[in-house]
Amino acid sequence: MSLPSPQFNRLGTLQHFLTLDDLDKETLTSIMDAAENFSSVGDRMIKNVPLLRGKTVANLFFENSTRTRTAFELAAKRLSADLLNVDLVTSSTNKGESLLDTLRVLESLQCDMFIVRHGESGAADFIARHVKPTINVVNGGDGQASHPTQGMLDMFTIRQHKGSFENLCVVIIGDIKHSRVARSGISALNTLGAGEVRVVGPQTLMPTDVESMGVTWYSNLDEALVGADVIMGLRLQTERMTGITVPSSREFYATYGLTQQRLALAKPDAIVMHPGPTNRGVEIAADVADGPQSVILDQVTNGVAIRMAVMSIIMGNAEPLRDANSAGEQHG
Amino acid sequence: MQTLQVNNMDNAQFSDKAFETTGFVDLYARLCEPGLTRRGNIQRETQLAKQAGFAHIVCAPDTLPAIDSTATVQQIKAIPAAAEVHPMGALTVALQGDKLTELNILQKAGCPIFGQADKPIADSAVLLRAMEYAKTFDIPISLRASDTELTKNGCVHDGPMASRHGLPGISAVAETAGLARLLELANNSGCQLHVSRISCARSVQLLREAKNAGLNISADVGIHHLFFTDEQLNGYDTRFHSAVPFRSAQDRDALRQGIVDGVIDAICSDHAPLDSDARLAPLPATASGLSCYPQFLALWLALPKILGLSIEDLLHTVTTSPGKILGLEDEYLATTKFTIDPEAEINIEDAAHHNPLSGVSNLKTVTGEDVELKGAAYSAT
Repeated sequence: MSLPSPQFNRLGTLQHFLTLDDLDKETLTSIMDAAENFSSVGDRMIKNVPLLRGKTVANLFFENSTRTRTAFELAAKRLSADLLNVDLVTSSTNKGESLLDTLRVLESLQCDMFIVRHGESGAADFIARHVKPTINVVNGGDGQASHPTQGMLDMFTIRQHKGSFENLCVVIIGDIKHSRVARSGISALNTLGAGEVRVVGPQTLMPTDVESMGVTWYSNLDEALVGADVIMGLRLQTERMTGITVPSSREFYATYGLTQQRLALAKPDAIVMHPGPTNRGVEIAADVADGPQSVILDQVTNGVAIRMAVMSIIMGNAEPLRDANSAGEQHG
Repeated sequence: MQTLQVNNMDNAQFSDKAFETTGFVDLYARLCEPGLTRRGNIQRETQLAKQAGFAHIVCAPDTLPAIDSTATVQQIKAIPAAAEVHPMGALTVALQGDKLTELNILQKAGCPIFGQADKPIADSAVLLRAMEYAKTFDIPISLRASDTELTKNGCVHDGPMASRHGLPGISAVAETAGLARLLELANNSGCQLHVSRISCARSVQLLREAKNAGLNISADVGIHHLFFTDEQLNGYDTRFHSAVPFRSAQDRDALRQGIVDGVIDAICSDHAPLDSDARLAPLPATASGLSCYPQFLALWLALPKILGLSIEDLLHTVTTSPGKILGLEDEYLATTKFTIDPEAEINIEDAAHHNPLSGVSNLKTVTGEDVELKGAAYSAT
């Protein structure tokens, strides 16, 4: 009744990494377990492993990005892949070339994996349905739909600090409606069995029927923070701060800004997360972002390990199945 | 094949036996000429329409150029067609919503009705004057109810599916706020307003109230909207990207009820042929619209069972009711005859237009409802 997910190949294994929506708990856990193993690579004298040696990974960013692109770049390099950074924001796609034409060109350059960021929801899904079966696609963020590696690095960071997801109360503050980070996070938290997921913000920043996504909506931040184990801020896009969704950044901070005073309402060991870049004095107070409960920089570090895990897991699953020599190489 | 007359039919047996009818009247289809022939053309689309039983087709004015001059009307009328084409005149010049077209001149040239296709008239003063001017000459106008700003940037129904997929939504209120405005202005001007292609439950309710209050209005629904919901777009299925979005199951059921109790007068095709690459992009960037003629008749023939009516009860929705809205006399409609065989096996082959029903013989695989797609029309004149 709806299109089958393009994430899985005909053997049912994960060929692309597009969304967390149809991944089960075991898959999410195995990605975090793999990231655990990759975490130490960055601490070594020689910061790479040969898992993707000889493979070409192309960063296709149709939207500006510094953090995500850098983290993918570092992950690919630590896996020994050859990396191609294609600047599509200022390239021929602005001359009217269709997305599909761009893809065909890059396929012809014999890339093995595409990391895609695009402004339209469903772009990664579309690309995965139309690339050659020998290529893997990783969604680096599409429109307002999904940002699955961000979702996974958030889960990995929570697991590091909290051990498990059961009975956790997670509070997500801000622009849920336009946030792919929130969608991926909510999806993963529900799959991993988090005790309660609360979203906080005015109705203008909530998707229609937000509770159908498996969350409880709070309009009052103070009420939502009571009993919280994990507090996730979201970036409020500058163009939305003075529009009709929020009257001003000052009003947003006064109503939904995460201050030390408000943080005290949560559990004493609550952690504070944010996908970055933070707008200090809009979503979060500087002393909270830099304070002892903040794990924002852990998220950044974990972003590399999670992306190494995802890339190495799906690389072996492209069709035709690769030979045992290249698929079976172990790192370390 | 046994041919029977409509008037002396036993309803219980009616649904599976062949019958004769006057040719169908379609209040809204895109025939793509002039200017958009890479999508379709008058000859081809009217041939497909004829195979579905249509004898009269109102073609939408959003051609290139728009149908706002006698030259364009004459150009359309001069193209050989398998059904009679009634060009819908553009209500405003180039459908820009700011300056009235020459309604009387265009009407004489062959436009029985005027509208804006899917383009808005954002300025209420322009809309009210257009209605008053049309009323002066008893010219019917056909408009889609849609609030410009609330519709902007949206591509699917704003409901749980859109929320899950992060797709920019078009809320039902975008239609109902637009409809309330149309009804108020129609009430004030007294014009003959036809509301084209409604999609939600609240619109049916607003129309019901307006009709009960005695307003001179009529309405239609696209046949796909009586079957599909936004759930069909799960997994970014671009084939169901419709200009008038498919909404919730409750909305679809209310539209069905609107047919049963006569609030909705007519069923149109909303036929929209597409380029072969129109759907090769992420969903919000794809062209909207569904090809309809290949499956129109089969879907329409499935309605009696779904609605608990006889075919005879429903026949007016594609014959006399749309005919009356266009000002076509029953005697004129009766000059074309079709024989319809509801049991004829059909094979929908329309893959080039990304038709979601291409190769489908039962809607069970698409919507979950057990609806067999059967039925063919044979021209008797």
